[in-house]
Amino acid sequence: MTEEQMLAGTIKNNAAAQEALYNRFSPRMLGVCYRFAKNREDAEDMLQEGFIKVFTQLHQYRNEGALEGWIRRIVVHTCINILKKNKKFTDSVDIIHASGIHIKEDMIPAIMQAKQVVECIRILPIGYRTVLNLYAIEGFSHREIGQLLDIEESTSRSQYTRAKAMLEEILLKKNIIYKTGNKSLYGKTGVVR
Amino acid sequence: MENKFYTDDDFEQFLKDTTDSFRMYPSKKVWYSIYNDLHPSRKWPSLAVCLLLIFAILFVGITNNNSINKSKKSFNGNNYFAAETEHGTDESGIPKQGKTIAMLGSGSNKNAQAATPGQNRNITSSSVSDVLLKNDMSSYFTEEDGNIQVNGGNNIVIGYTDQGSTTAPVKATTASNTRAKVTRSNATTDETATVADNDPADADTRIETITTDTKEASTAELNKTNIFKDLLSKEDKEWIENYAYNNQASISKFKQRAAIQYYVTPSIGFRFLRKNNDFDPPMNQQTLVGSNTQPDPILDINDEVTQKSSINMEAGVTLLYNVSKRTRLKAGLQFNYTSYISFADRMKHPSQSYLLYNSGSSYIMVPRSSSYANSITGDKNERLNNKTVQLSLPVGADFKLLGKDKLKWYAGATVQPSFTTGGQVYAISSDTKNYVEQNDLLRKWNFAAGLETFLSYKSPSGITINAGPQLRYQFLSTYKKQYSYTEKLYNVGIKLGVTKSF
Repeated sequence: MTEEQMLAGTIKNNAAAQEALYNRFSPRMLGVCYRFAKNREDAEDMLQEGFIKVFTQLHQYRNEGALEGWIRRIVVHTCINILKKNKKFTDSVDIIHASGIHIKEDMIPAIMQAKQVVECIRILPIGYRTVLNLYAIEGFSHREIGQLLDIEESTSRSQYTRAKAMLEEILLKKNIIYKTGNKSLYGKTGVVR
Repeated sequence: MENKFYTDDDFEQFLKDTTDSFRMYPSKKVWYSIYNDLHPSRKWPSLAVCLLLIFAILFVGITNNNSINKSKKSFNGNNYFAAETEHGTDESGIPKQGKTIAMLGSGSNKNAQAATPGQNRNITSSSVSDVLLKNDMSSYFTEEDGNIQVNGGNNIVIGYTDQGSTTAPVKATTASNTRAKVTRSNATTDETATVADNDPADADTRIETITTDTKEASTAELNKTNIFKDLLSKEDKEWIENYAYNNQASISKFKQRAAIQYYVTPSIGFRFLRKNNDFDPPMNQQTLVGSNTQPDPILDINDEVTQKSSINMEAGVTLLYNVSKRTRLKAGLQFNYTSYISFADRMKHPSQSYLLYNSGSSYIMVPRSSSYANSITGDKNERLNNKTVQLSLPVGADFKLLGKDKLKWYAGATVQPSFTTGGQVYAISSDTKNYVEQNDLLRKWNFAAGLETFLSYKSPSGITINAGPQLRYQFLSTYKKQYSYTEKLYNVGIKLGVTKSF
């Protein structure tokens, strides 16, 4: 089924078209949700709610940009709304007061392949993780992040700086990146000069 | 990604590139939830069918219960009864109350010493008096010149009806101090009451039946307490109270001791996984080889797999038979559903794996296609549901430990030969790296045992409710004997049952 056929069928509430669209985009979208969520179950809840919004709002999609990008933005907004609704930012370390976090070796799980980086991101406190996801990966500006999370733009910048530093420390310990001089080299393998 | 290097300035690009290739596969329930949310109307047919089924069961149950109750209420004509009825009026025209005793019966009735009827079914005075004497009612009458004279205030009517010919009670109204004369009616619609007859020459005594449709018949109250107290022996009273008024048909000895029980047992189930010690030649650590090129000894298979328990279910019907006050035997039919979860990672492309089998004289590495990698350290994004569906014949016994009357405590045990009708098996490969879906590894016939203890409460309606924990253990492996591992399932749950006597 082509993307156009899926779109047309989904708008008509055709179950087969909806399932085809879901099967095509859900693996990647679940990966997006997993970066925001506390665990897999929460990620699946976010995915479920996100796709329901996608299906009910698909008639508003105007073919401006890729469909995947449109779906991704809806899913990201859904993730943020769920985190805010469940007050997840106050569960552990909140977005303002995250400091003094020590990375222990045993916090870094023994995992394989590309998931290593995602799991390292998930080690971060939820506030740091959210800002980092939104800015570094999803491409939101600090101003947009401030509006989304009800924080100041400057707070978003400072939190991102700290998140980036913490993530680098984790990636270094995991040997996903290497440090040479004052610079970090990012890559699966590399030669330390 | 291996050959890409990013500097500090490209941190965001690095994160984007690495996370962009990251995929996770959601569980099926996510799609089902989305589907149900988008198509709520499609839930209604299944709800409607469930409701229809429930109503049908209730309707059948209520209908059967009513028909049984109706049959219990009907008279068969082999009854004693007594009624306090109006008979006659006093001088001012006010109806007088008195006691009217009538005995109806055939020769087969206990104590129904009805007078032997003549060919025309008439009962003569001599036979009437004979019956009265035998039933110690002589104080209520005097006999004069072969005629029955009823003592003041009381009326005695003795008659004979065909057994089972009517379901209506008999009513007689007479004036006191006179002999009663009752006219038999063959129809079921006559409403004529008896008429007092002052002619002492009339020796015929007949009974007229009145249909239940008549208002009089429906309002006639059985005042058994007062009358029986005065007239009947203790033995007669008990007989009447137990059988005459309730008109219960005698039930067979089997039905008195037997009952039927319906039950369901939700439980948590898991497994014991071991290497197959029945392999011939016997396996050792080195036998569990990895790929066909590189042996890899495995110490304990349970350290090599990640799994968790899941919800199991049993439901069935059992016939119970009391052999003594404390012991009852039971046998029935049971449906079993067993399940547990193995964690895996879905592979992008199927790969070849090997299952280790035993042919009786050597080992065989059987190649199979696998789509799931064993997720011992991975993200466990796939839950493999290993399940079986079985029919079993539980046979066993229950023993009463404590209690009497309504509340009792039992312990029970059963043996359960089982037949596996279907299921799903994800077998671990010989190198423990992959899972292979291999349903033909399921053993068809199996054997299990159940142990239980429960409380039993008998409700006022006669239905008994049972509840208590149960352990079920499967003695034989789920897998066929050729496979390199054995799996024995067990589950622990709460058994809830409803028992009804026949």
